[in-house]
Amino acid sequence: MKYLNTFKGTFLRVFAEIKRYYLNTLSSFTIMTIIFYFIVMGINKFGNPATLGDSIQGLAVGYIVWMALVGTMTDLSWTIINDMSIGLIEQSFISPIGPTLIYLFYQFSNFVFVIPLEFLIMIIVFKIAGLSIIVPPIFLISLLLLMIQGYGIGLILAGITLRFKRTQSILSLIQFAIVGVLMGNFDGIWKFLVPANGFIDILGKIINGIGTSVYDWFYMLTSAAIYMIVGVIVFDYFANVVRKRGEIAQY
Amino acid sequence: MGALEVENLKKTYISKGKKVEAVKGISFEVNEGEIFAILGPNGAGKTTTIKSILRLVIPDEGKIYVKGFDISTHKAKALENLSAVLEGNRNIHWKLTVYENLRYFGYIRGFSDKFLKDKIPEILEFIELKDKKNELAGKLSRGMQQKLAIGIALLPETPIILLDEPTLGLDVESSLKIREMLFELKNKGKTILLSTHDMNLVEKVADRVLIINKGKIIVCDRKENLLNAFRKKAYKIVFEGENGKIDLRKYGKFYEEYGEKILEIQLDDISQLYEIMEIFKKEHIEIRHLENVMVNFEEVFVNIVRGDEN
Ligand SMILES: Nc1ncnc2c1ncn2[C@@H]1O[C@H](COP(=O)(O)OP(=O)(O)OP(=O)(O)O)[C@@H](O)[C@H]1O
Ligand SMILES: [Mg+2]
Repeated sequence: MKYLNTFKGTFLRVFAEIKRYYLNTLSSFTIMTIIFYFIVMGINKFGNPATLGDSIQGLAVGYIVWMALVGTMTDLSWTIINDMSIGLIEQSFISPIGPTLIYLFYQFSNFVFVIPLEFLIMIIVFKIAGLSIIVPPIFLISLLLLMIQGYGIGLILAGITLRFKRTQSILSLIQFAIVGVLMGNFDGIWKFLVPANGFIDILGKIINGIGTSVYDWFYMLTSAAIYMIVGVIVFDYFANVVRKRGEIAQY
Repeated sequence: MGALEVENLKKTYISKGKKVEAVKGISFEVNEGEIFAILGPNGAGKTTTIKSILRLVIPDEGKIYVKGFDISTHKAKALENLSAVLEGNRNIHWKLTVYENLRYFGYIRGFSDKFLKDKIPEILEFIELKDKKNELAGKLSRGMQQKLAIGIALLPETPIILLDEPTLGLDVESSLKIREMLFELKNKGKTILLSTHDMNLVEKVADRVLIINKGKIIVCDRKENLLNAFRKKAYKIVFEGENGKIDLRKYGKFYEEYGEKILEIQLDDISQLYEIMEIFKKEHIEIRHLENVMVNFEEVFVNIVRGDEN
């Protein structure tokens, strides 16, 4: 029961923050869409007609995966930076619930708000790309699993932010690093370990009407779960490191 | 059993390769229902001590018991009995309204809607921010923000409240208000531990005082005892007539007021008083009266810390 209350608290906080920043959210969202629109136009104009459909489709999937990851991976770190600078962070540490659970709930709350936004982005991107917006439900489920993995990485980054404080530039770089991770070709164990990369292939397969295998589901479920668990452990670890160093907020 | 027990607390920070011994073995106990003040010059280790009690800092050595719960092994249980307002104008979410702040911090401690619905209006009443409940916390004056921070600390109804420099940066009016609030809280049976540089506040509200310097305890006693100890040693000699060739400034503070001559002296031990009387007798100076000087806590504090430095 008390955990439900904690969740409510983070939920209402996220809601109040979004409400107050909605112009901000809306404008960055619009910019992203416009950029995508121009990329598609560019490909249509200069691309190789033979592979045009494939590349636009690949781009659309890549784009929504990227959009799904940017926020899920970095939102919490920005929140931690904010909380450290205005002193909210100590109150989370003083709560008997503890910072790890509170910020995990913050992630879930963020998730609830981001899901509809992400689906909306997906529809718009598919529309621009000329794809059918009727996507199979397993596509959406895979996308949600990907986002959970993103939140796991988000917890790792938030732990690092808690410890090293000034990670703003790294967080900004993450947006580009994701592109690299998505486009890279990885084999064997790396295919499994490198986040998101495996999801791209599976999502592509679903869009192309090729079904998913048991192995695909095993991969998606375990890699999402592993990143989430590692995220919680890493965050909790750094929460204790800063307690020892006496540097919960900036010292 | 005290409400709070601190045993042999030690903390050395390591920052950029340099070691700072912030707290070097501090022990004290805070009794149920009292206002306990920690004083000390900048860097004495007050904040480190308070943060260790809250487990915001993990000490290198020592034990801390909150209502009997060892915070290193029963953190959640111990924290259920504690709330705090930390240094500076922190502690609140600037982008949330007063009401949203109270609700958010209530929720993250696990409280239900039902509890908060009754409790928040009561808190708003107490901190006198009922009219401001829909204003963004960032837009409030410093004094109001501090009241809100105290309100947030009161919300969970913990028996023990820690306040790190609660009147820092506040104007006279707001400080007075905070002082009143502390009294009311004490009357409600709360145990309060605070750190401060505000000697006025200590003089008015504290029951017991712990003075630390450079991470060590200089003294821990009832405020009255400290004041009395100094009162006994501070004398004011009022006399008339000439003081002849002797230079009284040598013995203490000498001045004239309303035609009376006054010598104020600080004694290390009472025999010094007899020596001075001897001199007066020899010089045939007529003493009108002799009395203990009223000392304020600031003088007590300065003398204790200075004594420790020498
Ligand atoms: N995280 C930290 N890393 C390194 N040194 C620290 C850290 N926190 C505090 N210190 C140092 O430890 C000493 C004690 O600091 P503390 O904040 O406990 O003192 P204080 O009595 O609260 O002082 P003030 O009256 O200025 O608030 C100081 O020398 C301070 O610089
Ligand atoms: Mg301090």
